[in-house]
Amino acid sequence: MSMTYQQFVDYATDLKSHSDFIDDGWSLCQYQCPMNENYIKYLVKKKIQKMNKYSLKSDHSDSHTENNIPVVCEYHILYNPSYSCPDVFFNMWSTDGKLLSLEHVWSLVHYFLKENVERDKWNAITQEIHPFFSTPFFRLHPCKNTHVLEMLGFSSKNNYEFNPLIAWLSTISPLIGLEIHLSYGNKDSKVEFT
Amino acid sequence: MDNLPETASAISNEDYSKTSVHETLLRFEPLSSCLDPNFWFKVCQLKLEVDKLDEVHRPLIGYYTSNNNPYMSFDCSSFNQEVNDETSLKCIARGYCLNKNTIDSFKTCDKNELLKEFGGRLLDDFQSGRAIEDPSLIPTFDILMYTDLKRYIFYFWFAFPSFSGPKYCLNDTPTLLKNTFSPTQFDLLAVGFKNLKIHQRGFFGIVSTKEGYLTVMTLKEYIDFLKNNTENDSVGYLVFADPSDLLNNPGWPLRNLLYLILFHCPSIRTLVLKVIALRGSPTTKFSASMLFNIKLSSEMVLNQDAIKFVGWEKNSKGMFCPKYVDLSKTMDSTKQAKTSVDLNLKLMKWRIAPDLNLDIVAQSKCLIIGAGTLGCCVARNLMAWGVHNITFIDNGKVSYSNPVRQSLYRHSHCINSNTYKAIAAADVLREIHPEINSTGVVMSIPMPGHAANIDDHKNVDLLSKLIEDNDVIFLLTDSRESRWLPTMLSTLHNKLAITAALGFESYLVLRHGVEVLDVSSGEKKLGCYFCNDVTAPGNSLVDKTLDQQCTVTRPGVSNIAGALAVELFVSYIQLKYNVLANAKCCLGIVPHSIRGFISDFQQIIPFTPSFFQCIACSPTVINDFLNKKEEFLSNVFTNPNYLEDLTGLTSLKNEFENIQIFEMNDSDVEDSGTYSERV
Repeated sequence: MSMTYQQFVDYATDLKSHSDFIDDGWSLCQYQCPMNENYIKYLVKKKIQKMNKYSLKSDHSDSHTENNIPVVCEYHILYNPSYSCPDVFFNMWSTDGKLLSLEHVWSLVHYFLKENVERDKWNAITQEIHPFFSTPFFRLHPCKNTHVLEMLGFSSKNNYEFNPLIAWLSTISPLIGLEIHLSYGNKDSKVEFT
Repeated sequence: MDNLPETASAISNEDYSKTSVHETLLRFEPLSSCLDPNFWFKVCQLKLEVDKLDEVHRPLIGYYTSNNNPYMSFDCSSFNQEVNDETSLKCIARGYCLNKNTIDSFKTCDKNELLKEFGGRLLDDFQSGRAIEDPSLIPTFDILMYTDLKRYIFYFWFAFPSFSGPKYCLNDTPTLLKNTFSPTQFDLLAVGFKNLKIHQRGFFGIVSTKEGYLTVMTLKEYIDFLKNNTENDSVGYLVFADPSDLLNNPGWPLRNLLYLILFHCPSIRTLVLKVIALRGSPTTKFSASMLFNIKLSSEMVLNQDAIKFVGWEKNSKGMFCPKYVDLSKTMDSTKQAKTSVDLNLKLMKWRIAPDLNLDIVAQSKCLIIGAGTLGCCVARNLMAWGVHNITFIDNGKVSYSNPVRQSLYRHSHCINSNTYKAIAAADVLREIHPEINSTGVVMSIPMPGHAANIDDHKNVDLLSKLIEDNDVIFLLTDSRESRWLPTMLSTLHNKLAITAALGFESYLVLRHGVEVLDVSSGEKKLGCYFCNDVTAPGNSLVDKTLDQQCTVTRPGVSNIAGALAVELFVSYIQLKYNVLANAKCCLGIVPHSIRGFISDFQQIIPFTPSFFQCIACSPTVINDFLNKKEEFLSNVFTNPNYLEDLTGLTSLKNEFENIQIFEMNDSDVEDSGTYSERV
């Protein structure tokens, strides 16, 4: 399923309003494109979290080392006009300001996806220049995003009650260390913030 | 920091306050520093361009939130003096940064004295009332740092100065504010918060009327209110944005706030202070906020000299030590280039060629003989493959005709015909990629039939040494005879040699040098450049017109041949030993030679065995060189026919002439493999 920029903004606004409701920290930012001076909207979340390294043992049983070092994670969800789909960029650094290496970021991938990432790194996380800020960010390549949305049962023709952006984000979130609160899936149930 | 024991709830308030045994000491969760990578970029810029050698206390802004996050964050905007973003939900803190000039002054300066100095400044802000006017001075901080701008290593130590006394205790167990405030009151709180200026949002006061109506006021207004009101009931609430993530412990900013308020309002020192720790954000109406009832449990020390300060930050191991961060990987452009180049190459391994051995390519030491069109092209392609060690041999200087074809040279190299090609090429490689280890050796290759070389044994030894010290020899000179000595020496040292030669619209790329044993055929070696060419090299520059002396080729030919030479090397080196012609590696086959013809855009990969009478690589020649080097060399350099005589080619030719079976036509002669120097 591909989406238009306007649809993306609608979905993003919806995500943001639920985020506000549960204090999840997403904000909708604007970037002024230098070529036509249009404003482009994108979602941002910045969070300090303690992360575990997961590693695969040779017998493919999962294991993770509890080193729990606080990591600052910054997530940007942009609209990708070439692929007509959402596009996630993220960066991680330790609290002393040192960016995590690509290898380190791979090691943080949740263990139940680990094996696939090890096998197919090219389709998983790469490091690229952020289109707005011209600094290196990690990125999940967007070429599969429309495919992921279709697998989740979304097509461009139908209107869904459910927000495809949230469905997609919660599908890929274990790859990038992002936690999506369960209440995004059932927004009618009131969630207590603790 | 441990959570407080939850024993107080069972005891009624009055009993609790009387029995000092059960008093629960109030402990504050310390703040930690959290730096954005761009913070360090700004630090570098300021040190280099503004501060230079001054050790100034530079004012700085830190950010913290009330969202379960006991961190104070800093980024490049921390150096601005104004915060314009009133919509931001962050609270701000003001402090200073001291950048020391030397690692020694960073290490040796008295940290206790320094903390005292920081604390003294805080105390002065408190006593003068500046901190009441601008509450962002309350959660102050100081950074002591040393920046190694050459190596991009940063030493830093944060302090969040606070007063070591007095002690405070909890009057009862902290409760959720929800138990006290109605939803309407939460609404009033959130609205009041948003109406405050950003530097007032960290610390403020709330006064409630009997009907429960709340008034949010700035800290100054609240302190004035406390001063004029001594009745126990109506002191309202002291509010602070709480970064703590521990349920029963307030965050560090409260520690300074309590001192400030008790200092200015002596009348409330005996009372129980109601303190609201704001937790959450205005969008959720701070619904996670806690209510602490706090009272003083020791005397306030007001004698200025007796006040002690605390606040140095612990490092990741929990020690009171400076932190250290090495950012050379992200900030040093040289290292960045190296990582990017490596990453680009590693991408090949992800999918296309998982077995590709890049390390062995990177480690290979490459000797490029002839820094002309082919030499430049080979060097660039080697660099693209991640090769680190490249040595050029050439005796020429860069001339005006060179830069357009020879990709490493510029017009500036030609001016006054002053620059040696070998030196210029090595320099330019480092300009392109600083991590390259490149050297230029200005030297002419001793050539057979060139009598001028007769005493040139020093160069023979130097060349022999260079070939021995490198892993692969690229033979890219433009005359046939200059290839002879390197070919022989490569065979002698059993080194891979790759020869590339050009015709006007044809090229030859050939590997030789290394002994290859084919068990089935008994062939010992793959043929060298001279194996297919049954005349000994003489002085080809004698009696030739200009167009015959220079290499006249279509410009694209050298790029094709140079690139093929490097690809042949990379494929070859993937295999460990005994690489037969057309052996298979992870990149495909490894041919013995590649011949291409641009006129009809054809390419073939013939295999030719070595010739036992070859004038460059046959055992007769090698042994003669080993056994009687001086005599052999002077014979070779003076007598054009010596090599042919030695290897028996002369007699072979005589036999041919006597037999006269074949009539050779012109085209047969042309195919004999002499390309560059061919007429």
